Amino acid sequence: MPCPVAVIAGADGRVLAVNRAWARHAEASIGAVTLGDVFPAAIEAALEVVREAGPVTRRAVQRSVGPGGVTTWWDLDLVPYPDAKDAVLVIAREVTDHVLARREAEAAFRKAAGMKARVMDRTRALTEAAEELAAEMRRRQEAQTMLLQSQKMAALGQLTAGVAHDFNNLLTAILGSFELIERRTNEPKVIDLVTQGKSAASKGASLTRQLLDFARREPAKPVVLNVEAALRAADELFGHAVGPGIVRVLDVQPGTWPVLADAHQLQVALLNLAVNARDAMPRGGTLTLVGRNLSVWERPEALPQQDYVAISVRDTGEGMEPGVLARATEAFFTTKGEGQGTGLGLAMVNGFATRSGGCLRIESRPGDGTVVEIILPRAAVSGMDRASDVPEAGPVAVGPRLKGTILLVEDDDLVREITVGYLRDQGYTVVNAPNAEAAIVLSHSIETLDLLLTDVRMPGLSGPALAERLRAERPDLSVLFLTALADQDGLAGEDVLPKPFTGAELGKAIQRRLPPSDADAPEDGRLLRRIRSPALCAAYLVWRTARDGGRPPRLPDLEWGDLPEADNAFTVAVEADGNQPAFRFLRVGRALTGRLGRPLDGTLAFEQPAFEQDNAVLGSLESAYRRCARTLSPSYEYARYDFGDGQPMVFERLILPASDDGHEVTHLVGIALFAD
Amino acid sequence: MTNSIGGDLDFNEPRLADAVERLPPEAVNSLPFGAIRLDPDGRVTLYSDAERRLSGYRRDVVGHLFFTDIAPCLNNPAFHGRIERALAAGTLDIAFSYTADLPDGLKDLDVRVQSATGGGCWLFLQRAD
Repeated sequence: MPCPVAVIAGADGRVLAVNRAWARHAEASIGAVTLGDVFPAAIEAALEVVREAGPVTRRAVQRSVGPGGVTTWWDLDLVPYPDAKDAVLVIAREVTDHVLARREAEAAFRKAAGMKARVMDRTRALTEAAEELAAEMRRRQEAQTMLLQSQKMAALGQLTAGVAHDFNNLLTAILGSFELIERRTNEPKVIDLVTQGKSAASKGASLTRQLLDFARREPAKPVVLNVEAALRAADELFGHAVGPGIVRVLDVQPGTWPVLADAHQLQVALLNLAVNARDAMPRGGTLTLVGRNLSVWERPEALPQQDYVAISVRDTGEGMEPGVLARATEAFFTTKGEGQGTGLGLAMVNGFATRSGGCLRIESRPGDGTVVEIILPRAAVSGMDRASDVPEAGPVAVGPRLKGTILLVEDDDLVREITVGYLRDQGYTVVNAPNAEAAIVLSHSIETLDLLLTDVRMPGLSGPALAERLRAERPDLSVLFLTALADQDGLAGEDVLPKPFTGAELGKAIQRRLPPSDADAPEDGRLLRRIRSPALCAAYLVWRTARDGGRPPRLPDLEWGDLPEADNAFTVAVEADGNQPAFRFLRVGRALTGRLGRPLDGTLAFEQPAFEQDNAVLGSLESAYRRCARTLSPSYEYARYDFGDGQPMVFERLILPASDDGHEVTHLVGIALFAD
Repeated sequence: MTNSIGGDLDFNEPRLADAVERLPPEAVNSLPFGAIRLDPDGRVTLYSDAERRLSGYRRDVVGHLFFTDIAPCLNNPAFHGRIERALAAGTLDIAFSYTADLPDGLKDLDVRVQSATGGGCWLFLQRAD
């Protein structure tokens, strides 16, 4: 530790005495230098010491920068020097190392504290994430449970529907019989009994109607099914039902086409068949699940001529006699013992097959086993292949707006694959996800998302819920929902495209939802080529310049002052009232006002009695508006009329759309030119 | 070749109806634009193959009020009289643009209507793109 520097300073601040250590610090001779020159930080303390005029001590800290820029820190102690009037003794201790060390320690401390805070934050974030994950798992579990429950309900509903239909038939027969009896008798007692019987049958009928209503509330959800996947899933399901004594074989031919059917109903149908097969093989045997395409000559005659797929269950059991075979699909018909079967299994499977557009085929010989084939139409994603539907086929014209990034969310792998294919063919960039959760993660990697294209019902988060989440971050996000028959909830006011759809239908639906991209130069060029009048060309260019990206300009941006032929220009505000748009004049050029012959600002166009005149001068604004609203582009019309009566006429009109919000066309600016 | 005869004809030819009337029927069918002939009662007496190919809209759309229904401003009673008189006098000559709303999208058409020799008129339609 170097020796402290001691300085005695007099009343006027002049240094009176120093010790040897002073030489290290200063070179100036004493007497010529004041305390303030050497230790300026000490001045205030020195004054206080002198003022106090008693045994006091004051401290100060001095920072000096020496030659070479070296910083030195001093701790200063000041006491009164008794041997001279108003003098102070300053003891200066170099504390550089000490201070630096302290400061470093303080910094280290702060840093540690900061790190601790960050770690705590991180821990909290992780904890929250863990909780969220746990919550997510719980939600999924709940969703699974609900799905299972709804599947049970669906199965119940399906069974009920089948039974109710058959009950209805029976009741009809009963009621019919009663009526016949009623007509053949006059005995009051018999009539009495008949009346009671009819009443009971009617009650039965209303009961079955209720059952049918219940069943109808669980609609089928047809999806494109991969046959192999479906049979594999069924095979797993059978394991328990069929038992260990039976060998199960899966035989799906490669290249088997997909089918369109309700996945769950197919599983239930196959389960029914498996149970029948099991019952036919009490001493064990082999159960084979087959999937194959039907050849042309195997096609069912009674059904439309198209491709079919056969999904079959074959057993090596007892087989059926011809008489039994003939009645196999009859409701309640069963050869099983009391309490061993409802006799409804095959009836249900038959119902499922016919509802799905196919049929059932059974081959059986006593001792040879049985094959039950569910024949289903091949799923062309383009439609149910009914002769009356003419699905939209053909390529979608590659127009100027085919750019953009689409996030596709669809839990059915095959539909998703096919749809991605359509979209990429049409020039879109596609990010696809099999469920909403994955979609959310992927969406963070997409900078500009132009459209969310999503299924509605998915395990986990639903389509509408997903849209809500994504819209929280991207309020302008366009969303198009792919809906199945029964989807309703959460879709009010949303754009929907029903499944199944063709590539062309998908393309059109998207084009309507996607804002026009900047790459519509071909459109521009075309319009420019068609406009005859140079003034209208110029007006079109004014509009184009005022545009905001691909969207129509806001009205204030479309300066009348810039428009050529402003005398012949007019601005209307579009008041869309239900189906009929109305147009209110906001501003009309002088020449047009003259032609229309009345003051216009603030009034509605096309109001009687001025309807015809407005039509003649302005043309039909409604059709122009519809065109503009659809294309977000100007509408141009021209006409040259020569009736041979010496009064030829040339008329040209350009309608420029403007929008307050960038989406809806809220105003039209038009220029109508006449040349007589 | 009849093709080249029809192919030389310009849609903007001032006396288009006269020129088309001089062509043999096959040549009319191979014009690069559509041609429809209406008799004085407004019935279609000729509907060229080119018209079928190029426009894609259905025959029942064409009627004697075709050009009054769709031509700008002509859908106006004030004009009906002049149209009738011009048709009667054989001096009708109208040209206008029309955007047809077809199943596969909006199509811009250029339309010309000219009196036909002997009454009635010709409608010529060309895709504007």
